Amino acid sequence: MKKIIRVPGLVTFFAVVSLLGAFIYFYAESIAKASIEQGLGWYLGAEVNVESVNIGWSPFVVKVNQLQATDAAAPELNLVQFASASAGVDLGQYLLGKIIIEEVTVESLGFAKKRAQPGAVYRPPEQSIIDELNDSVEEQVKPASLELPDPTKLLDDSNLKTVKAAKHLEATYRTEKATLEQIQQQVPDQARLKQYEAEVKKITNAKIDSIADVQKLSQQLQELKAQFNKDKAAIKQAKTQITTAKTNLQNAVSDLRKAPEQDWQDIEQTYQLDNLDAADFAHMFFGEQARVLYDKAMAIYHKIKPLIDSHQENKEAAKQKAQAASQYGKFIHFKDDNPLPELLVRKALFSLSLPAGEFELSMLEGTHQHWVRNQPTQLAVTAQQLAMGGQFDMNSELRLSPEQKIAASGQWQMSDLTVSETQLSDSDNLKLALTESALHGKGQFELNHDQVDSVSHIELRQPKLDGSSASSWGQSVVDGLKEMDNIAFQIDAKGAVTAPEIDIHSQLDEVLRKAVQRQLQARLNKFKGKVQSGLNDKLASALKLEDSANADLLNIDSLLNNGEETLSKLLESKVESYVEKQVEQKLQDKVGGELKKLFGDKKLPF
Amino acid sequence: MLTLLAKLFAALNSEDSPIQISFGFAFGMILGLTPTMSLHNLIVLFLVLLFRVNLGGFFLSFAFFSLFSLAFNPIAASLGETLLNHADLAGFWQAAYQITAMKLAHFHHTLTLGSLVIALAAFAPLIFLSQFLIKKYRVTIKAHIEKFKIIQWLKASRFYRIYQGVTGV
Repeated sequence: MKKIIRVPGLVTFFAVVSLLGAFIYFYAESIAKASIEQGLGWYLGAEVNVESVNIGWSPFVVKVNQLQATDAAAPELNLVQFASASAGVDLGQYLLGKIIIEEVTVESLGFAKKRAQPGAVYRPPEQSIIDELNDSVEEQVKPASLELPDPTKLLDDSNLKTVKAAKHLEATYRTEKATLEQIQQQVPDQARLKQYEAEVKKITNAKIDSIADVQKLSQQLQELKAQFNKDKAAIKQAKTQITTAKTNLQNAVSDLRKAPEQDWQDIEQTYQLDNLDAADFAHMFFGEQARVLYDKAMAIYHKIKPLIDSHQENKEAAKQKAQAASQYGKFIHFKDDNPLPELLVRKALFSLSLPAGEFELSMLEGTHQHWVRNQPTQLAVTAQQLAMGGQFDMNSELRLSPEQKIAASGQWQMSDLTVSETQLSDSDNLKLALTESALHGKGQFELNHDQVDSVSHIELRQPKLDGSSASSWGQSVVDGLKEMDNIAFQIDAKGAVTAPEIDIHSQLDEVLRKAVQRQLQARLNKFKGKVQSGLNDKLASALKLEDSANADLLNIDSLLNNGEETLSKLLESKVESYVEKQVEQKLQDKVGGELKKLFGDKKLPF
Repeated sequence: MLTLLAKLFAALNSEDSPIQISFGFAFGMILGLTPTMSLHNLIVLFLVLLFRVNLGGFFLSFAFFSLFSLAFNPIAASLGETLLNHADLAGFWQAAYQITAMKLAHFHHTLTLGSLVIALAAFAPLIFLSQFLIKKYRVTIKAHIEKFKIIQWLKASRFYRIYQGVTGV
C-alpha cells in the first residue's frame, strides 16, 4: 500500500485544507468587516463604519452590527445606518451563481441621522439622496389667490375689446368723413340748385323774336339738361357711397356696443369669477400637498427604475456572449424541478426609524424575476405609533414581467393621526391654519407598467381651524370652514405614472361655495358695476363720434335728396315744351307772314 | 536556498517509474485540457497528491496541455454542446440537473463537459503510450541526450551535487 499511497501527500492535502478552513473560520469575520467598510466606502465615496461582523456556518448567516455610512454630501450625517442586519445565504446556490437569502432582518434602519463625528469623504459627492428627496418636495405652495383684480388696472388694459372697438370706430369715422367731404364737393349744393332754377326761369322768360333766338334758347336748354343729368349721376353714385359709409359705421358701432360685455366675460374667466361652483377650495388648500406626496413617490420610482432596466441584456452584449461561447463554452440549462431566480430574498424584516415614526416593513418573495417561481413580492408596512400618533398599515403585491413591466396593487389605511399646526394658506388676503385635527384615511392603488389608478379617502375629523382675512369674503371662507365637523375629500390619481390626472373631490366645494358666494356676490356686483361703468364711459365717448357721424350723414343725405328732387323737378318742368311751343309759334308766324306776302288776302284752298 | 530547491526537485521526481510518470502525464492532461477552476480538478489534485504519481511529469503535462487547449477549446465546446443537446441523453441530463453537486461540477457547461469527455477518453491510451515512450527514451535517447553540453554543464553545477546528496544517488 505504501508503494501506491503517498502518505505525506495525503497529510499535506489535509493540512492545507485544514489551514485554509481555519484561516477562513478565524479571519472571515474580520475580512468581511474590512470588505464591507472598504467596498461600501469606495462605492459611496465616504467613510463607512462597521462595529463587528458575526458569521454563523450552519446555516450560513452573516450578521453585521452597527453599520454607519456617511453621506458624502453632508459628512455630519449618515446616509444610512442600522443597529444590526443579518442575512442567511444558501451557500450551495451561491456557488451556482444565485443569491438565495433565506431571511434578512434589519433592525433600526435609519436615514440622515446625525453622526457622533463627521465622516471622511473620499471623493466629491454627487447630490445626496437626502437632498434629492428634499428637492422633490414641493415647497412653493402657491397660496390661493382670492383677491379680486384692480378695476382701474383692468380698464387701462389696451387689450380690452372696448378700447379696440372704440379705436376702430374712430378710424372708420375718419375714413368715411373724408369720403363724405369728397361727395359734398362733387354733388350740386343749394347755391348751384338756385342758379339752375334761375337759368330755367331765364329760359322760360326769354323773349323770342326770331328762329335764331329759338335756336339759341334750345342750345342753352340742351346744355342745362346735360348738366342736370351729370349732377343726377353724381348724386346716384354719392347715395351708394353713403349707404356703404352708413353700413361701415353701423358695424363699428355694433362691435363697440358688444365689446363691454365681451370684456366682462373675459375678466370673469381670467380671474375665475364666472362660476363659483367650479371653485375648488379643496384643491387650492390641499391640491399642492397631494402633488408633494406624489412627487416624492416619483423620485423613489425614478431611483428604482434604472436598477430594473439595467437587468435587461442589451442586444450587443448578447452578440458578444454568443461569440465568447464558441471559445469559452456556454451553459445549457435544463428544466429545473425547483427553479430559482438569480436573486431571491425569501423573507425580509426591516424596522425603520424615520422622522415620521417607527415602521415595520416585511417582505416575502423579494426578487426581480417573478416569472421563475410565479409568485409576487408581498410587502407590508405597519406603524403602530407614528410621530403624529395613530397607526398606519399598508399591504401590497408587486410583480415584474420578463419584459420588465411592473404590475403592483395594494391598499393602505391610517387612523387617529393628529394633525396640528399646519399652515393651509398664508397669502396676504387669507391666513388659515389647521391647529388640530384627527386624520383618517384609506386607499387603494394599482400600477400597470406606466399607468396608475389610485383612490384615496382622507378625512379630517373635528378640525380646529384658526384664520383670518383682511377681506370680508375671505373671512366668510374662514367662518365656513370653522363650522365644519368633518372635512372629507377623495383624491383620485389616474393615468400615466409620470403625469397622472389628479382629481380632488370634497364637500368643501359646496359648503364654501355657498358661504362665500353670498359675500362675494355683493362685491362682484360692485366690481362689475365699476368695470361696466368704466366700459360704458369708454363706449359713450366713442359713441359721440357716432353722433357726429350721424349728423354729417343726415346733412349729406338731406342735401342729396333735395338736390335730386330739385333736379328732377327742373328736368320735368315745362320749359322744354314751352320752348318747343315758342319755336312752333314762331315758325307758324313766319310761315304765315311769307304766305301772306305771296297770296295776299286771298283765301287758300287748303 | 539551493538545498531547499534541490529537495523540492527531488520530491517532484521521487516517483520515477514509467507507470508513475505516465499517470502524472495523464492527470496533468485532465487538468490542462479542462477549465482549471472546475470541481473535478479538485478531485484530480487530490488523487495526484494521494497516489504516488510523478509530480514533475504532472506539472509538465499540465503546462503542455494548457497551451494545447487554446486551439483545442472550440472542438471541445462543440462536442459538449452536441452531447448536451442530444435527444437520447435528454432524460439523463434532466435528472443530473436536479443534483446540486452536478451543477457545481458544471457538467452542463459545454467546454467543461466536452474537454472532460475527451480527457477521460484519452486517459488510458496516454498512460500506455507514455509508458512505451519513457521506456524507449531510457533505452535509446537518454544516453544520447546526456552527451549534450548543456546537460554536462548542469551535472557539473553545484545544484546537481546537492540534488545528488538529497536523493542519495
